[in-house]
Amino acid sequence: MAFIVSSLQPGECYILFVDSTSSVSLYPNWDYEKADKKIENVHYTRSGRKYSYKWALTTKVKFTVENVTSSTMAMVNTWWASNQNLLFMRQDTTDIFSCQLSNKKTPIGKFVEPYMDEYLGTIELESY
Amino acid sequence: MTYNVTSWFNSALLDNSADIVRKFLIYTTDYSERVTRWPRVKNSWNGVKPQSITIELANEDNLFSFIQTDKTNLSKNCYIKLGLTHPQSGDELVTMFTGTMDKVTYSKGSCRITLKDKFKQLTERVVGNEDLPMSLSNQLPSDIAWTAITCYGGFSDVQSVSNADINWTDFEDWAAVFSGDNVLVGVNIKDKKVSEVLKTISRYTMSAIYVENGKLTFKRFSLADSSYNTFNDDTIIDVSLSIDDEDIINRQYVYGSYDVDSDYWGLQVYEESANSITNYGVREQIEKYNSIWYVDSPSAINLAQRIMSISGNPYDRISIESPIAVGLVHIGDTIAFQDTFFNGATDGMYRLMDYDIDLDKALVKVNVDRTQFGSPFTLDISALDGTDVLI
Repeated sequence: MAFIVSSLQPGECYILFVDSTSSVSLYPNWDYEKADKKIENVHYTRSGRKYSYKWALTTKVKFTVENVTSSTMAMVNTWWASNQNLLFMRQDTTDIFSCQLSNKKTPIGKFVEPYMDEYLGTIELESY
Repeated sequence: MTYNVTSWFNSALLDNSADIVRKFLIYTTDYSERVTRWPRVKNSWNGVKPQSITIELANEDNLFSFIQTDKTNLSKNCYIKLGLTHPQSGDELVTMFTGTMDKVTYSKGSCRITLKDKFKQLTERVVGNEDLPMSLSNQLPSDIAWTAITCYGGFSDVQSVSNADINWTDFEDWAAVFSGDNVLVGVNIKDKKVSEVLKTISRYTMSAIYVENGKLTFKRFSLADSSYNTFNDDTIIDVSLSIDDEDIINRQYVYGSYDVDSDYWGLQVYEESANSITNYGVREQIEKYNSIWYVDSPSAINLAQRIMSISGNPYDRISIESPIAVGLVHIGDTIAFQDTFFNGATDGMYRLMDYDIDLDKALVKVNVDRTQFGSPFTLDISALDGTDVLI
C-alpha cells in the first residue's frame, strides 16, 4: 500500500502545552467555538424582579483538528487519559487559559482519508 | 446581634450589584474551590440544640485524607462565609457558621463533612450528679444558666464583650429582665446535660437561646427593633401562612416552691384568658419541673402572664422564601411583611423566629410571627403635622 503524506496545516496556530518541553501545535478548523458557562442561581420574585447570583465562570473551548501527526495525537491522547493540567494559548498572544481535555472519548484517533499517518479528532478543553 | 458590614455591603446585596462569594475554611486554609455542594444554615429561636450543616467537597485526589491521618483536625474550627467583592477593596465577608467537624465521610471521589456549632459542647457535658447535685436557691434564671454553661459546660466566664463563647451584651440584657422583675428560681440538677438545662430554662422563661456568629446568645423578646427588613413583591418568591389550633393555651398553671427532700410543691399559680376560654373552650398547660422551679408566686405568675399574653388566640405563622438579597437576617429581627393577598397585621410588622439560608441556591426562608412582638415606638411626623416637618 502506498502512503500519501500531507503537510497541510491551515488556519491559526494554537499551542497546547504542559511546559516549554512538552507542547503541541494545533490548527483548529472553522468550527472553533468558545462556550463559557456561568455557574449561577437566578431567582424571580412575585413582581418579576430578577436576582442573579454568579458564583463562577467555567471556560470551554471546542474545535476539530485535521491532519494531525501521530506524535501530536499520542501526546494529546496521553494528556487526556491522565487528566493532565494544561495551558492553551493562541500563538503570538499572551492570553493563556488553564484547562484540561474534557472529551468523553479519545480526542484524536481517526485517519484522514487517504492518509495513513495523519489523524483527525475533536479537542474539548475546559477550565479547572 | 448584628453582622459587622459596611453600608455598601447591605445596599449592594439588595441591589444585586456586586459579585457574590462563598468561602469554606478549615481553620485558616481556604477550601472553597473544593466545594461541590454548599450547605443550608438554619437557626431557630427555641431549638436549644446544636445546629449542624453538611458540606460536600471534591476529593478525587484524596486531599482531605489529612483529616483521617490526624483526627485531631476534627476539633479545628471551620467557617462558612458569605460576602461580596467590592470593586476596589476586595472581598467583604461575614461568617455564616462556625463549628467543628462532627462527622467526615469519604465516598468515591467525594468528602462530606458535617459541622456542628458551639452548642455541641453543651450536649457533651453533665451538670451535677446524685452525690453532688447543682443545688441553689433564690437565684436569677440567668445566674443558673451562667453557672451551667461556664462551671459545667466549660464556656468562657469572662464577663465582658471579649467573652469568646457567650454574647455578653445580649446576656446582660437578658439577665436584666429577670433582675428587673425580681424573678427567682431554685434548682436541683443532677445527671442532666448542660443543653437539657438550657432547654428547660428556655421553656421556663420563654427565652430564645441559640448560637449566632459563633457565640451563645440569650434573648427574651420585648419591644421589637425599630429598624427592619422589608419583604414585599420585589423580594418575595413564595409565601405561605398557617394557623395551628394547638397554639391555643388559655389557662396556664405554674408550680413552684419545690421541696426536694419531701417532693412537695409549695405553690401553684395560674393565669387564664376568659375571652379565649369562651371562644375555644378550656386549653390548659402546666409548667412543673423538679429540677428548676420558681421560689415565689410573683416569679411564677410572671411566666404564666407572659404565656397568656400571647397564647390565648391562634396566631398567623408566615413562611417567606426570598433571594438572599433581603439581607443577612437574625433571630428576633423586625420584619416588615407587605402583602396584598393575606390579611396581615395592620402595621405589617412581625418578628423573625427562625431562618434557613440555602447557600447553594442563594435562597432565604424565614418564619415570622407576632407572638412575642411589641411594636417599637416610631414618631410619625406626617401624622403630627402633615408636612413632614416636626414643629
